Amino acid sequence: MATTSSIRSSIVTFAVFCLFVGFQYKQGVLDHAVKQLPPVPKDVSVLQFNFAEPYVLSRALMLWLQTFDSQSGKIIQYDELNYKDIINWLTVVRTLHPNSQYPLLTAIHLFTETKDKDKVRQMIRFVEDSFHANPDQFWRWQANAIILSKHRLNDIEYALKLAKDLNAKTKTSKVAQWARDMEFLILEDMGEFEASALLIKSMLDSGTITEARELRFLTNKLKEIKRK
Amino acid sequence: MVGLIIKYTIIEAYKKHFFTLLLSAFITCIVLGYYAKSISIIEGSETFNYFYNAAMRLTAVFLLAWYCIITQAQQIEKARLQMQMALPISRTWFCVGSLSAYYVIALFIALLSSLPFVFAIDVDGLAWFFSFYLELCIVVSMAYVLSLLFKQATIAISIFTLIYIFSRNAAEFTRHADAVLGTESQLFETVSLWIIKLTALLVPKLENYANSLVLESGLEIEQYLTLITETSLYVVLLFLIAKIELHKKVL
Repeated sequence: MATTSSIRSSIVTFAVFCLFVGFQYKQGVLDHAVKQLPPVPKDVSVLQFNFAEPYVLSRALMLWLQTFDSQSGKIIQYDELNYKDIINWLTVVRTLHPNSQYPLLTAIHLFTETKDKDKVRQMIRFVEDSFHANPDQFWRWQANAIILSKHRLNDIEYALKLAKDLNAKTKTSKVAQWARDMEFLILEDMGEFEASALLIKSMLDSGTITEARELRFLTNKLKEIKRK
Repeated sequence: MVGLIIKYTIIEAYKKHFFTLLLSAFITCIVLGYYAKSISIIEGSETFNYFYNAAMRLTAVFLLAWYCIITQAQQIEKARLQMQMALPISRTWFCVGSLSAYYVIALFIALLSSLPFVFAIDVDGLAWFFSFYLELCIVVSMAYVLSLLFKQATIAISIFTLIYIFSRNAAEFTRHADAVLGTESQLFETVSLWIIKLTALLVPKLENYANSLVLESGLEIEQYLTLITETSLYVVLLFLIAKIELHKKVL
């Protein structure tokens, strides 16, 4: 037999349950609209109040950014996000931790997973800006950007510009030879055989290449281009 | 006598399950670090180091400080401090003994916290351990003094938390204050900003102690010496304040 106190407890429990459901509804649990990234704070210096742990803050922001596609039980496409905000947040992360490879890897491999070529170009420009800020640290992402602009954007002139920047701004010893080879390979694809041959010859004459396989590759390549 | 104080303080900490709590916190921080590492795409070990370092540092500091404050507040409340003052030991040595006990506990915490960095590559675990231990010494001295100054544990804990948060961001507060003072500002604003600058001058620069930057780039000899000097000055100053408070309490 239900007593007054048990009835009262049931009513209170039901009332709290209704409050909970109402609160969840207000929070937008049933809302299927895509949540956009919040904009970067107007006064970015507020992020400097990070308890002297800028690296931790940068990594936390990066993990938050990369998992932003997982929202309230649904997975969204990166296409649906505002790429200007993504780039602003990546810039903040890079400012907090200048030597981290994380923002550039996500820029070049994660946020370029979109059919929108304009968005891919925005990410490549972000990588290019980061490369110019620290060429020796970020040359490999510049190399990835060259591949993307050539094969995804089909913009061979832009790919050549990126390849020229890579060779011009980095020290020979810090960059892998396969990355340096991209410039003459792109010139060859463009039909600029003379320019390509000159580049290979200058590489061989510089004496900086010591690996036998690389020397063999460049020599054979030079002969092949001369035949063309 | 000092040895006895140290021994019984550590036994008390053990009986109050402080070390069990510390071990649980340590395991939680390791798990947090590994979770962050598992969801990061690149630089996994760095991610673990950063998250573990931040979590363990905050946890250890607050656990030790709050334990010190609560224990001292209980001793004052239950008149046990007055009983201990009646023992044939000078105030100075009593203070030395009490603080030394907490420094021994701090050493244990620093050693335990540094374990994950022992086998890590590209991190200067020794520099981190050293600077973390010095930070814990300052923190526990501050907590001890606050517990003697304010008999209520809640007030002491709140003030400690505020001072610690300020100390970790002192450079940023000062920079912000300098930037605003250069412009036209109202009297109230100017006074507040000068108070911030003065406080930044008085508090220890805890941002220079164990953090991710120390872990990655280590410390130079000059930095070691600066940390030792700063820590010694603060610890001696706080010890003298504690001694004065203990004398007042007897009276």
